[in-house]
Amino acid sequence: MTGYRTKTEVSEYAALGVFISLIENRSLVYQLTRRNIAIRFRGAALGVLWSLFTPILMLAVYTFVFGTILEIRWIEQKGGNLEFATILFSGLIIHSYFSECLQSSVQLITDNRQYVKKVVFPLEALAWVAILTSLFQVAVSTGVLLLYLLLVQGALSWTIIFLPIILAPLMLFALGISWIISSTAVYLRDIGQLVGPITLILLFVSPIFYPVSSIPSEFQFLLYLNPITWVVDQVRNAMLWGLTPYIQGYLVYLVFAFLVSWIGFSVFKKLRPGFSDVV
Amino acid sequence: MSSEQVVRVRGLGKCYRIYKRPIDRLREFLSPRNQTYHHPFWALDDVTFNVKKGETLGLIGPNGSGKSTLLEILCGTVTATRGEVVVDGRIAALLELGAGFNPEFTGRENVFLNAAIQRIPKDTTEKRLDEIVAFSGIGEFLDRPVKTYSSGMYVRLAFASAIGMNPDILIVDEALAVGDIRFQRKCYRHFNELQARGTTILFVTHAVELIRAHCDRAILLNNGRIESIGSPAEVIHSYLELMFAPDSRRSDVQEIVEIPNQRNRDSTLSGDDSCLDRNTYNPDEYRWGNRHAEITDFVFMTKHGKDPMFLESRESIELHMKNQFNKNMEGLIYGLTIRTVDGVMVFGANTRDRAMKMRNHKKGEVTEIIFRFDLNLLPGEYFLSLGIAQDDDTVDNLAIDRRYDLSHFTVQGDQNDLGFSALNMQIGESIDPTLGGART
Repeated sequence: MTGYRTKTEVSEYAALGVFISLIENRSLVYQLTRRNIAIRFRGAALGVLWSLFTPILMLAVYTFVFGTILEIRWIEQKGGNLEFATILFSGLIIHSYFSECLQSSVQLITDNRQYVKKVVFPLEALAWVAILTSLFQVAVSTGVLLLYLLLVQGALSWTIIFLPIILAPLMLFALGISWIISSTAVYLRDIGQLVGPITLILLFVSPIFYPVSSIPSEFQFLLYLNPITWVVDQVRNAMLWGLTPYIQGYLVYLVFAFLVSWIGFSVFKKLRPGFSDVV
Repeated sequence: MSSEQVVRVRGLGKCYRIYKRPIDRLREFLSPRNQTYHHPFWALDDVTFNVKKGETLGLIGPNGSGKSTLLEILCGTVTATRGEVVVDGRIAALLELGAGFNPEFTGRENVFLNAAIQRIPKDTTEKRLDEIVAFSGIGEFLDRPVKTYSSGMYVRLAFASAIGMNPDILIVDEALAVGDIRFQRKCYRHFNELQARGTTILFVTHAVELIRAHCDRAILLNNGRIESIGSPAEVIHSYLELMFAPDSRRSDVQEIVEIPNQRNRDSTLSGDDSCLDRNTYNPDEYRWGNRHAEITDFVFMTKHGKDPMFLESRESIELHMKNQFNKNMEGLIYGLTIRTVDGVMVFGANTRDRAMKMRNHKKGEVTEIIFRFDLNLLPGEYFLSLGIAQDDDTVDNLAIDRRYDLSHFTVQGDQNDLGFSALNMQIGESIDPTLGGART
């Protein structure tokens, strides 16, 4: 019989473990997340402004290339390049959130090796910290976009209140993937090399630069294999076009995202005992 | 209640897989027929022990004996390969200097972070913060990033925040060695307070004195196995045997005998050991060395006579040590030490450090070394160790016959002073307060 027991432990692989890992460590997750965000801007003269600068710059480049040079148009689009910019930007917010979660997962454990061997540390909480830290950028960018919409249109659609609800399953999804990547990357460093190309594929095989309807119907299913496609569509509906979320699709996506997070959590728990031998 | 076992370890083993090349790990991982590409290395093997609530347990052993691995498994940071560990209670661990401290965070933030790791509510931490800061003596550095701290400050804050949270079990790996002496003393003093509160303490050290002074029990680990477990005195003896005996085994001399435990003396080695008949002889002495020469007798000579039951404080003494040579020998060194019951050295001297060239001896010769001194010790219990050693090119100083704690003697006297040195102090009072400066 092999085992390490303390008298207060709860069931390891229970589905609720996904959330228990947050609730039990909420104070820790809060402190680390706050600190991660602060560190990102510490010492930079322009501070938080940098989190605005990069997306706006990328937005300008993409708008010029795809809107002006390639002249891609959305069906819903009525205005010119300024409206195209909002469509592009809303998609990019979602994609950069997801890819940032993936990128930061690769070294999540190996960068925190002091937490692996020398401290009794709830390592599973680190994935929560990663996805919540990345959420900060989403908040800033969304704020910028909403401000822009308010200036251009003079009003915001009431459906923006659905944004957090639409994002919730994406977070769960990112969380599950983060657990899987961070734990397997401890054993297989090669995974880090894969994440870059994968995020690039996710960017182009998604309705970010072009609408789903603009590609041949036999290839459209490819876009729906991309976990962010559905979220990008719904975010645009809510933010730009005043449409409420499609409820059946939402529930399917939520269940799917929850399953991914549960699998991720179980994989992480399974691989966790070996971390200290490898890092 | 007090006999409750809070840590139970059964048949614990930890095997590390050693791969020659990183690719071997992958090959083994992908191997369809479970072929192995590693060499197993057992850092711990079949370790079994219990720790009672409120007990202080010391872990001692040579480098690489598995002490740290054992502590890491107890903390739950490293997973055992086999066996079982049951820990009942909240553990606070100081496994490495400043581990768990985030260098970018300030001291204050790190205290809260550490508490959060242990799932201690924020308001509890706030209540204890003043106490922690006071104990660490960190002062205004509390609000600076810990990367600006000295290593001493680091460990002070780490220790203070670990014990400040009232853990049930405190685990300390040599981390404290970094603090200055004043802080170390403060920590070890605090151990007593923790013990009184019922905290169970496990600590690793190389300092025999600390084991003797603070532990209820001790464990000696060697090559991942428990070599000895029991009272601090027994375990320290085994440790000293382990640390010093292999040295003499390693030298090229062929006739080296296994170090017989004093209690089952090998009588073929020598004639009589008259030490045993002396009034102050300590049956728990620890003896080691290759026995090319032997200490066959010792005696205290005082003005009250030979081999008295008690010694008088501040009397003049001659200590005679009788040696028998079983080989032709040169480069001889003789020495003695006197220690307190806590293992603190009161006095030590040897002929090499005094640059004395001692005679060479032939096989069969018997000689006597005489130590003449004033016993300027306060009344109390003391241990005397005697030893013969030899200058040796390979091992610096080769133990010939060392008798550790050979004699347990009592010093009598009418002083009620504290400490152990008899300074012959007079205390008076003057009504003319000039602080000795009257005569200019």
